[in-house]
Amino acid sequence: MSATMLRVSKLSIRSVIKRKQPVRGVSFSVQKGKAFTLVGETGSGKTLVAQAVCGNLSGELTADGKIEYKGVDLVRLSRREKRRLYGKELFLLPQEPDSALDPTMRVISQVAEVFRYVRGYAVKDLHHRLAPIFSDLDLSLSEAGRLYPCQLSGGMKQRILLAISLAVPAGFIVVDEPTKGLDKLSRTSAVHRLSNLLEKGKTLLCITHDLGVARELGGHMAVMYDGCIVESGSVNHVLNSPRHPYTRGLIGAAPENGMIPIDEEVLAAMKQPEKK
Amino acid sequence: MTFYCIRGENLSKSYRVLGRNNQKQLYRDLSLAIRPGELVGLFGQSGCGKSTLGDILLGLKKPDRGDVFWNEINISQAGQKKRKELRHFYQKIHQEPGSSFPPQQRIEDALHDIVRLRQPDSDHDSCTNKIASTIQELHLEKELLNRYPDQLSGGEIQRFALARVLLNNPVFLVADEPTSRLDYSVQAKIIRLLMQIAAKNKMGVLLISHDHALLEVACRRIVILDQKHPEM
Repeated sequence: MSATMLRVSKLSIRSVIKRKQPVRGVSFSVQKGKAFTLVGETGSGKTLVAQAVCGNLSGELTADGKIEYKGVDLVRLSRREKRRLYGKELFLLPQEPDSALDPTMRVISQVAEVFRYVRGYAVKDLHHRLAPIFSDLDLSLSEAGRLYPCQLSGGMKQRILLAISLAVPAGFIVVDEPTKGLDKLSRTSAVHRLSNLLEKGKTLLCITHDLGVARELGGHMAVMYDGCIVESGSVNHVLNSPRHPYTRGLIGAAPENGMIPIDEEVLAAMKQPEKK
Repeated sequence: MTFYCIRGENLSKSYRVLGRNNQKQLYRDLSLAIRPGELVGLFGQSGCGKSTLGDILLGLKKPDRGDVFWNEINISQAGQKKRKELRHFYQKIHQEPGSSFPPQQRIEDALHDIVRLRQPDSDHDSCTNKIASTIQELHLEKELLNRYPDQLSGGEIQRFALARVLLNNPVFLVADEPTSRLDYSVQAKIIRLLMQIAAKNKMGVLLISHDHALLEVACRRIVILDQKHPEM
């Protein structure tokens, strides 16, 4: 029996300016050493949930409810306590790797910088300590390391961020859309790398619209639509015997399953609570 | 004789790898022809030259060898005037639809510009009507026309990009990974729309994707670009 790493209960996110509630009453829990996948289409609020967990919601948004990480409520954390936690225990792999990399620095210096500050590696050791990490990720330190972020492909940038995530002893990694815009081959290896992280004992909260990613990572999953969780359970259970019509629609819309658009009536029926 | 809206004959393309002194061959003697209303898939891994082949067919890039025929007219031999005349019937939609719209212009104004470019003597009302009927076909709501490109969701702006292309009455369209950045549910909607419109408007489509399952659903014929060995 594994311990609960993260428990989100009745999380709602409110927008002050637009007077909207893009996330309403979301509850789920993530077990240690397992993956939890949140799936849903654009605008369903899944990225906001990830941002709330990572404490980087934009200023106009406020979170209500509880996000407990190892028993500590993240919503009511002071700035100093946050700094102790984020980056060291909780780590976010963002959707757009560009937003996390400095465009004016060579890749190698960015990775090295994190290793120096977090792990305290000496400058002269850096090269031989980083080389195995890079080769594990199919990158060459002498070639890819010397490039600037704009010279790398999307998949490579993501791998660089993954290398950085290995520097910090983060036990809990939030991954936002790890396969967006990748081709089949790099998608497979990206998912494979995430499974490797699980094998190393890390816990994953994965945000994606790709049901295949959920299937390959295993563990539990939840389907979100319009700010609410419509169905949750173990991955096998949700994908093999979906109960909610929206989940069924989402599975049917995947190209492998005939790519049938979701019935407009199903979507309309689910939008209703917002008007009340 | 079958009529093809676009035909590439014995196309070869290679490029020089930067910094080294060698040529990388993308394909040699590749021939491809698409009939009006036909949806043809183009499949291959990243970097195998899918987009380049699309650009060659559209006359945006030159092949090393071989010819491209638009409506059976050889465009490498046709004069500037003839090419310009046919140019706007051969269109493309991108992976990043936002790049087809200027960021500081409302969508409606951008679409108006396109209609006026094609029919300079049309008045404001007929432009509006034409746009309204096109976006209705794509299940887009009129209110969205007042927005700026960054105020639209990925699926909406891709459909507007499609509307923008359709206002040119194209006979051939290259759809370059139109849905690779979109959710499955939105992707399903857009690909189905594309299939309907291609059949209805008799528009030939080259659908470029790295998702074989998608192409199998959407296209009757799939061209697989394997490095050096294109297989039909």
